This record gives sequence, C-alpha cells and structure tokens, in this order.
Amino acid sequence: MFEPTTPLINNDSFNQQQQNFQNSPNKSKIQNKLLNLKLKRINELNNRLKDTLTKDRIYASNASYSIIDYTQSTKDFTLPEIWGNLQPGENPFRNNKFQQLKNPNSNGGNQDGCCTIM
Amino acid sequence: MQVMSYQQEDQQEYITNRINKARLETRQLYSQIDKVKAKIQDTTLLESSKQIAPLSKNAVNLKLLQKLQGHNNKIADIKWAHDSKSILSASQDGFLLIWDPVTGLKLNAVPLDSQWVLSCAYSPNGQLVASAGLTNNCTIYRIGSSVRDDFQFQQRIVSILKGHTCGITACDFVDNEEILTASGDMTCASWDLNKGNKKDEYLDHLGDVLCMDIDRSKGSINFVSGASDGYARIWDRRGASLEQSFFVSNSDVTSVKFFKDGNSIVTGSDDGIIRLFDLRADCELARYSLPRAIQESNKANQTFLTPNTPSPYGNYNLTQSPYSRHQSTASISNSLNSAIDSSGVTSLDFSSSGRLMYSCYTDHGCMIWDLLKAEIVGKLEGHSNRTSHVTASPNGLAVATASWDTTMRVYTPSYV
Repeated sequence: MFEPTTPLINNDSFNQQQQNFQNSPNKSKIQNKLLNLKLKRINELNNRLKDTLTKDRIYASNASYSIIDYTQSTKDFTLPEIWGNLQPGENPFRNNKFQQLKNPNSNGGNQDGCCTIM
Repeated sequence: MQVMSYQQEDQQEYITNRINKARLETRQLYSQIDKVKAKIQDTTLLESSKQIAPLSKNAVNLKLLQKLQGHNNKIADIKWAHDSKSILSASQDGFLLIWDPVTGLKLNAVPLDSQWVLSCAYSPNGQLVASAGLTNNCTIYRIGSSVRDDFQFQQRIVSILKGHTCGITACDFVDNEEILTASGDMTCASWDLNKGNKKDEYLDHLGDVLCMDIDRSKGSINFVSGASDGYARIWDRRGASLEQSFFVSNSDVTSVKFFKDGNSIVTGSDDGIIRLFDLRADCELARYSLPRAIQESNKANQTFLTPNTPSPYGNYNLTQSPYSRHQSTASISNSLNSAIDSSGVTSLDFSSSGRLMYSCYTDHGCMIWDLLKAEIVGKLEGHSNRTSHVTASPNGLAVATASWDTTMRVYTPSYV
C-alpha cells in the first residue's frame, strides 16, 4: 500500500472515524437504507413508464390532419392569398385618426368616413 | 415482516436482487414504449400536408405599423393585453411601459424595484401587471387606466411573491387571481394573488426552467415548461401534476409555445431547431431547421432565400438581412451552416390560423415559417440588434417584436 510520507493533518483521526464507521453495525443498516431508496426510485420510474404505456395515443397522421384542418378553417388576414384582404376600416390597428391627421396620405385611411376638423 | 427476519447481509442481497429485477423491468418497459411510439409515428406533418399548395413568395401581408421608442436599455419581455389594445414591455432600464400600438404613444409607466427584470405579464382584466427577474421575486403592480389615475395610488405594489431560490425566467397570469412563474431553481410555481402565497409547486425538471407557456385554448388546464435539461414538460394546473414529457434535445430548451388548439406544442432550443410535438400522439410531428431550409431553397432556386452575388470575403454576411428579397449580398460558404447552427431560438408564436410561425433566432432576427411546409416564407425586419421576442396579438391582427436595440416594432396587415 502507498503511504504518504507526511500524513495530512487530522489524518489519524479521520482514519479512526472511518474505522469506527466500518466496524459499526450501523454501516450495513445505512447501506440497506440506501439500497431501499434506490429500489423505491426505480419502482416509481417503472410505475410512471407503465402509465405512459397505457396512455391513449392517436396516430401521428391524425394529429397532423387536425393541425392542417385548424390552419385551413381559421381566418388569418396575414395570408391574403387564402383569406383575402381586410376591407378598409376592418383592421382596428389601422384606424388611427392620429396618424391620419399627421399624414393623410398614409395607408389605412378610412376612405368613406371623412372627418371634419373644427 | 418478512424482510426484517433476514439477517442484514441476506437482506442486502435480497434488495439487490429486487433492484436488478426492477431494472430489467425498466428496460423492458422502455423498449415496449419505443415499439408503441414507432407504431404511432406513421407519418410527419410535412408528408401529410403534401396536398396543400405552398405559399407564394409574397404571401405574408404584414407591414410595419409602429416603431415603439422610449426604453433606454435592452427589452427583456413584451406581452399583449388580452383585449389586444395595448402592449406591456419590460426593459432593463428598470421600467415597465404600456403602449398604445395604434398611436405608438405610451399609456403608462411603472418604475421597477429591480432593473434586472427577465419577464413581465399583463392580467386578463388589465388592472395588474407583474415583473420578475434576477431578484428571485415576482412583483405584482396595480395600474390605473391612465397616468392620471395612477397619481391616486400611493403604493403601486400589490404583492411581492417570494419563494423561488433562483432567478425567475418567465411569468404569466392564469387569471386575475393566479400567476405562474418558472425559475432557475428547476421549479415552476403557481401563486394565489389574494392570499399572496405559493399555491402549488411543479417539480420534475433537472435543470433551470427557461420558458413557459399557458394553454389559452378553451377549457384547458395545461401549461408547458422548457428547461436546460433538454425536456419540455406538460403540467396539469388543477392537480399540480406532470402530464407528459418530451425530450427535445441535448441543449437548452429556450422557448415553448402551445399551438392554437392546445393539442400541440412547439419548442425552440439552443441547437437552433424548432420541433413540433403533438400531445395526443405523444410524438414529434415536424422539425424546422434554419440551415436545411436555406439549403433546400437553394436547390429549388428560389430567389427569395438565395443570395446571388458572391461576397469578396467568401463569408455569408448575416448582419445585412440576407433573407430580404431585394438585397442579396453574400454567397453561401461552408461557414454558413456552422454560423447558423450556433443560432438558438429565443421566441416563438403563431399567426391566428397557426399556418405561420414567427420565430426569433439569436443572430438572424425574426423568421416566418410556413408551419405545414417547413419553409421560410418571410422575415420581420428592421431591428439593429438581436430580436429577443415576437408575440402575436390575441385578436390575431398584429405582431410585435422586441429587440435589444431598445425598440419594439408592431406589424399588421395592410389593406390591399
């Protein structure tokens, strides 16, 4: 066995402690406890895996079709080639009186609703 | 008990045997799950959408509406009001600002107790806002409908929610009485705002929780969280229990978002790939990878993504908006893929139909994906620094981006 020429500080007492621990009847008890914990954890994992196994699943094709169906059946004005353009006045974000006053030529103007400024 | 009657040594052997048996069972279960999943995964979204016509080159109608200027540091987070009439932004200059996206004017300002904010949230009734960040606390403020109202409040802070032991990376209101937080201490938590204390804790992640999204579809009680352990997990809010887990990648999961109908999620991770998972099929349906999209568009020779003039430096110049239609400044060299590979996804959202997916990359700004075809169909441009967030308005008619260049931009469809 390799032995350090200059023992570390408290090395003796450390060894003593370890020896005490190894000789003590507690050691195997603690080991048993650790093993039990390990077993418990694996069993928990197994139960969870069993749960995932019994879960109801639909086929990926059906899931894909339902996504496609959603994109085809919900209105989306960011895609005018599918859903057409908003009519002037329909986009609340573009009905900006403030902007229109500042810059009457900017798009988004409410063409028919001409306002009079007093 | 039987076990107790064994001697210590025998007992050890007994337990070890049981452990080995349990491990064997685990292995069998895993292989069975793999089999079931392989059977379920009969197609991908890309294959099932073959019948659908691809979008044309200028399909996306989103024009700049407003540039929101006023913060003087990086913007950490933005949220739309639930009525789509205002935008809340949190910046590292120590303020929450509320904006009118139509006029571009500020409606309200909340000075924060800490400038190290990472996330903010807007309550459904518009009366409360929340900020959370590196102080480990989530602070709730009451706001009036105008700045004048706010002079009446001596104290804006409604409550400071303490309990996380690490920075809070994301927060959002469930309703006017409950808020959810995700934290670097590997947990998510829900808080009761009436009582001011923690209601439930969500433990299962093995890394910092970096992002979170609440399913807003009708009647849903789910939310999803993504963490640095590479997993996205679906939680049941009522039972405070784990519903489902998806392994995303070996890198951090930096953004998660529910698809509009609440049956699927998309995840963005540091490896730069966006993945679409379906909750009912319990598997991955599609994958969106920036370098691959660029390569494929080169093959198809779409001028949209193909730069045609070679750069003298042989480098792909990524800062000069390489994806714009009018400007192609560089050639694709080998360094392109490595440069794009390293670009993580920071934020994700959908257009109202879900056909378009907005995605922010750390180095490439905000790209617009066609969800069904896995093609890039546009880009939200204009920021001079990293685009940190993209979020679509609840009414689906506008998109807002926030950037480290201290500004925000709001885009909306133009007429004709």
